Amino acid sequence: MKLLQLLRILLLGPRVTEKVEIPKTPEDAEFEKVGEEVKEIVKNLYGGRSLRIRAVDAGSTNGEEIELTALNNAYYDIDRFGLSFVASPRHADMLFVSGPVTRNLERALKTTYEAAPQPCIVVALGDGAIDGGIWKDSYAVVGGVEKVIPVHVKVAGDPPRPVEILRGVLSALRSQENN
Amino acid sequence: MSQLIATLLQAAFVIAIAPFMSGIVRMCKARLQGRKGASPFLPYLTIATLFKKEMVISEAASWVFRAVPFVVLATSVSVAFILPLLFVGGKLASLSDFLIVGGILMIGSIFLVLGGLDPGSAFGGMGSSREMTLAALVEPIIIMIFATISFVTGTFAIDGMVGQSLIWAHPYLLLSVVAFLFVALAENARYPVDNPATHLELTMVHEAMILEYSGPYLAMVEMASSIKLTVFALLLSNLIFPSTVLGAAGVGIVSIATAFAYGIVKVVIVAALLALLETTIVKMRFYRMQEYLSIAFITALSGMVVAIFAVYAKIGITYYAMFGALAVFFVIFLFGHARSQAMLRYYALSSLAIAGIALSLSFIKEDEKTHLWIFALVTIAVKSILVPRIIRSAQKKYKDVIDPRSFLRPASSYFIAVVILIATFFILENTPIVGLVEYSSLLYASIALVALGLATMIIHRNIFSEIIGLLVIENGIAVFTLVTVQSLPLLVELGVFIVTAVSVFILSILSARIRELHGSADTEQLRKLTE
Amino acid sequence: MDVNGIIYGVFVYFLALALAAALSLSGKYLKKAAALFVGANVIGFITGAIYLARFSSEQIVLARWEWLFHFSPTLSFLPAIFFTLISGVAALVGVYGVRYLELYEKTYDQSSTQFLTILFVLGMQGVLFANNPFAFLFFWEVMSITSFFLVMADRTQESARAAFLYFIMTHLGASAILGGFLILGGGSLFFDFSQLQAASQAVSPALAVLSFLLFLFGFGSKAGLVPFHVWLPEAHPQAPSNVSALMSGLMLKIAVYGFLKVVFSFVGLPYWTGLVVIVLGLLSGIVGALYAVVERDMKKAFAYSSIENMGIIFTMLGVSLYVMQRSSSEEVVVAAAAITAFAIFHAISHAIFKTALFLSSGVVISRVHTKSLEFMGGLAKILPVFSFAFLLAILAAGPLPPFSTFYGEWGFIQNMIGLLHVTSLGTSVSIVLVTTLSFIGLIGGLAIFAMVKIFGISMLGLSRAEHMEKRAEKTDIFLVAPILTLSVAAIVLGIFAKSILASLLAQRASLIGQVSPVPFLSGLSSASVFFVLAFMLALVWMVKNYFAKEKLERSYQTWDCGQPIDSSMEYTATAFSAPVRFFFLRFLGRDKVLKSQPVVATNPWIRKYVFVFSIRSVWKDKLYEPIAKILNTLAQRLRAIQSGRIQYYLLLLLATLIITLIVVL
Repeated sequence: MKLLQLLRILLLGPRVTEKVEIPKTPEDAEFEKVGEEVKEIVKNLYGGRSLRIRAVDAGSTNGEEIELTALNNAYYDIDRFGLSFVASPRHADMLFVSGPVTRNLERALKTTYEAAPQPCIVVALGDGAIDGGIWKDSYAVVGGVEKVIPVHVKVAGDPPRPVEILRGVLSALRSQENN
Repeated sequence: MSQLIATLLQAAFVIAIAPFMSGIVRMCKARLQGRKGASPFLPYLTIATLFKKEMVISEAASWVFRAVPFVVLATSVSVAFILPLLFVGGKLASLSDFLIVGGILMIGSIFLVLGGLDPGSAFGGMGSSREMTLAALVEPIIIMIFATISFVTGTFAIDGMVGQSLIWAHPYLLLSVVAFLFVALAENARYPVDNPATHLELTMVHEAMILEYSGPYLAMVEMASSIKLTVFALLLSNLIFPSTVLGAAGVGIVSIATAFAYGIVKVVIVAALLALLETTIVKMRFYRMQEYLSIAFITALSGMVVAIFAVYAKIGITYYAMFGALAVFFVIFLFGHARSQAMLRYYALSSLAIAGIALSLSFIKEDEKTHLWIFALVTIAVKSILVPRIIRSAQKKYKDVIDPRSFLRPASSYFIAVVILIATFFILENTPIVGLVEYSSLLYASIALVALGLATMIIHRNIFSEIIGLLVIENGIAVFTLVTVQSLPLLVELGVFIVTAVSVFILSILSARIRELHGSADTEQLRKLTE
Repeated sequence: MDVNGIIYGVFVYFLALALAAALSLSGKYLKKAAALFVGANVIGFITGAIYLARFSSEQIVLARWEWLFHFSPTLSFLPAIFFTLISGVAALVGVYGVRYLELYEKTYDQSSTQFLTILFVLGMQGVLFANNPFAFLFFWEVMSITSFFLVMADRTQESARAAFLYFIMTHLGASAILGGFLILGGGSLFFDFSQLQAASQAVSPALAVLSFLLFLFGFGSKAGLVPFHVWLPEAHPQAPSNVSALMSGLMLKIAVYGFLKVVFSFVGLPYWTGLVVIVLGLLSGIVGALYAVVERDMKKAFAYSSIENMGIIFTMLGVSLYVMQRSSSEEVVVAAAAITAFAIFHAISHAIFKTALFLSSGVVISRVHTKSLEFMGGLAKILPVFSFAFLLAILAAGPLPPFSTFYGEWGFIQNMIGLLHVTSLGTSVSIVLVTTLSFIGLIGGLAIFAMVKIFGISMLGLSRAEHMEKRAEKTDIFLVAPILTLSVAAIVLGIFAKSILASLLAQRASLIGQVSPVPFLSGLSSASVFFVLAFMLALVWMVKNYFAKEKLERSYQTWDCGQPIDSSMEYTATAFSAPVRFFFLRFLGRDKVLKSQPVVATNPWIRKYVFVFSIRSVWKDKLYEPIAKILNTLAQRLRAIQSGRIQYYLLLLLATLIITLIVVL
């Protein structure tokens, strides 16, 4: 029976996120460490909270989006640090903006920022989002998220690795904490 | 006084544990997917966050939008107060009339729908339309389920229903409980009706309506849906295990502690099962909901019919009658499916139920014990295992990408099946044969099987389905002989089984050949052969 | 106050109505006439309420006018309920009418509309006081003809057609009732209603069945039972909204009253007659609810909802008739009597909420100037108080707990489950009961869907209307106040449902000779339902305010993935009901036409698409059109006789004479 096979995999199959079964590179260990720190800081941020993220694509190559998907997968699983992606900016505490902000998406980005309730942390993901990246000075892009909405943290890389993204989140939260 | 305390404690418990329930479902799902997942206490943190955040209210929204979270949460909370979740016979037990509870939940749904429509976005409208459709079509199912239970227990209050041992004394009520499970999944927007974790607006039902809410209002709406989920989880487990609910009169420290412990255990178990369900099945397309809901309705209706039958025919709790009902029940599902794989599965299950009839008869007819045992075993071997294998292997070679569709849509065929059942019932009522036989309830089952088998052959277009229809008719005749002919020589019966197996073999080989030669198993296409 | 007080009250009521009618006809004192109309109805309401409270067991003969066709107006319990209801509701509609007719000065002729409205109410009340078929039919006609003129009050082509259809149907119905009475009375129309029972026993069984069928058609067509309903969704919406409210809220109740009064006096009808009533009732319920869901015209949707509610009431009455015919054991008879009590209660609630709904539709239409739901929306922001009242009326229309409508269906469902226990009724009865049960559930669900759709699309979201009048709500206070009163009345009736039902049950039980009142099947208290719900709402409100003290709020445009949003992106009424339309495609007719043509003749790829979607009435297509076609062909055949030559007609005359002589001799 197919169902029994499925159940066996589900109940007895390997835990992909587990430490022992997969050899960890130093980077993985760092991911783990940063994640734990994020978890701690989220807990203490405003006196006991979770962090919900809305991803905004402002004209990216989808490289950043693939990394975001990787954050959600069984290997990185940012869910365990209390971070989750949501379907509406109204529900979000943090915006991940990727891409060089094309002219057509400028308004959409602005609307999304306005639609999210304050306090809302904005993270610019990738080189494109920082200053336009390889599209810098093109007529079709605004060039950098900063020119449209206030940015709290920039994460460099084209695209940035998951651990860098998580580190970015951490520093964003730190800066919020200091304020 | 103790009743009041019990009610207050129960509501406090349910409200307090509700976020934990949603959290633990999420955690179990993550574990089943091989992830570590978030802590089950995360929803508490989320709600605390939301209560301190700013709210962004849509410019198009009116006062209705602001009233919605209050009303929705109030309906959920009042249900947590009213229903017997930890203690039975609480202060508000008289309000737990099933129509009142259904109505209160309906008010919650209505306001959620209005909240989705008020900001004027297309997503909200879509979610609202879907939610309202589900809420409207679930209504007759709820009424049918609780009408059955109240018919059996003689009380209209859910409090009284939970107070009695239901499915242990009346096994056929299992059908109603299963239907209630269907309803609970639909009401709480879980799989297969809705995907609670989706980020795609077009697949949303519940989530699409609350896209506009933020801050404290969002917290209230999320809290309301968690409470509703917890309430349904506790109620469902209380219907199945009534002994886990304690009496409200004279609560003491011990009984409170026990009730809380039971409550936590029930919540965790139901959450784990829900997570398992959500990882093993897929979400249904919304426009297939009519099929889902009609299955739920037919299940609830079967429960009602069997309950009435049990009262009128004074059958009492006989296992053979239950197995007879099950045999017919599976054939109804067979009738509604177009895929011959699914049909074979239900045929096997129906045959299993017939074996069950023989087994339960063997406890009554002591003198024919061995005979009936052999009958049951051979039935399982031949009809549940051998025959489906033969047909499947014959089909395997030239598997159609799409099975030919039957002439009727699934939902309509279920209702046709019910009409056929009622018709057989009326015909048999007026024939003198009923009084003559000892096990008249099985007689109904056998005639119903024959009629349904015939109908299966009529409405299906696949030649393999025709074979299955024939087999269902044969099953009906087998039940008939079981009832009427007291003891057939063993040799003759075994002969019948061999003939069945062999004829299925020949028929499926022939069908496979036809399929191979003409490139289609559709009887409509095969009509050309006559020319 | 004694019995004479009641008599005086009723006479003052009727005289004041007549005076108000005369005043409005003169055209000078319209405002005064309207005030007099309202005052008269208040007097009527008080009189009726006192009668119900103090003298409900007595039958009061107000006068004996033997010279006036043996008309002696009589007041007894059942008519008094409807009398009180009609005068109370009519008073509120009267208040509403003042401002409403002012708004539509140009559309309607004020003095004649008001005159006809008053006469219409007079006709309805007259039917209740009738003591013999003649008076009954006289007032029935007053009611029908005045409403016929009111339907075409705006003098447009469309309403004239609707009015004509209404005229035909209502007169077919009236003649059926006339026929039924003639059969019962053996050709006489002057027998007293107290002899109905004896009369039904005196005629032969076949004739009794025939007269039952005539009455069923007569009252059923007035009540809008499917398949005699075609006129209702045409005629009710065409009238001015205050008259629609009277027609849908009150006139249909007169049909229920007539059915209860006449058909329940019959003795010894075969059991299939009850079954026929159940089938018609369920059919009306399901068809009415489905069409209310898919309908895009607001007032038509309300009219379909009336059909649905009439269906529920007739189902209740049918079940009551059916089980009484199947068994005469005590528990069955008691349950049957209880079901009629719940049916009456449902009729009362329907009168209240449906009047409120039609009055609300008038307010909405006066703002957006269209009946189509597709062009409404966004009214809740301009009219907060009205939208609250309308929302209450909408919730009252679905069977939902704190409202009175719920308790009618609640009692019905419980009694049906109770009847399932009576094994002596036999299995066929239980099959009928289970089928009815599941249909009632479905009808209730669909009715709620329809109501939520109407409110959600018309009041919420962004405005789709081209010219929406944004005048302040204060100017329309006379429009809003009656609606709010009616909505609150639905709640109050819900709070006191238990005690009101108890007295109704006792009354129905005494009719069948039961001394002890019919017990409730459930220990539920209707007042506590309301108070628990209200308490929970207050509790949630307090807790929320405790936890989120500071109000951090910001207003921003609706989230739609970052693009500018306008009302064309909203879900429309058609889209909202799409799933239900899809699920019940077999029961609904629809036309989908997709036409496309190239924009530039040389390029076939750039095309302009036109999509037309319309909902058709299956009943018109499958039932009425064929009948009309057959009649037409018959008429065509008959035309052969009409040659236009006078000699030919004389020949026909001679032939008729000869045939008659042959038959007679």
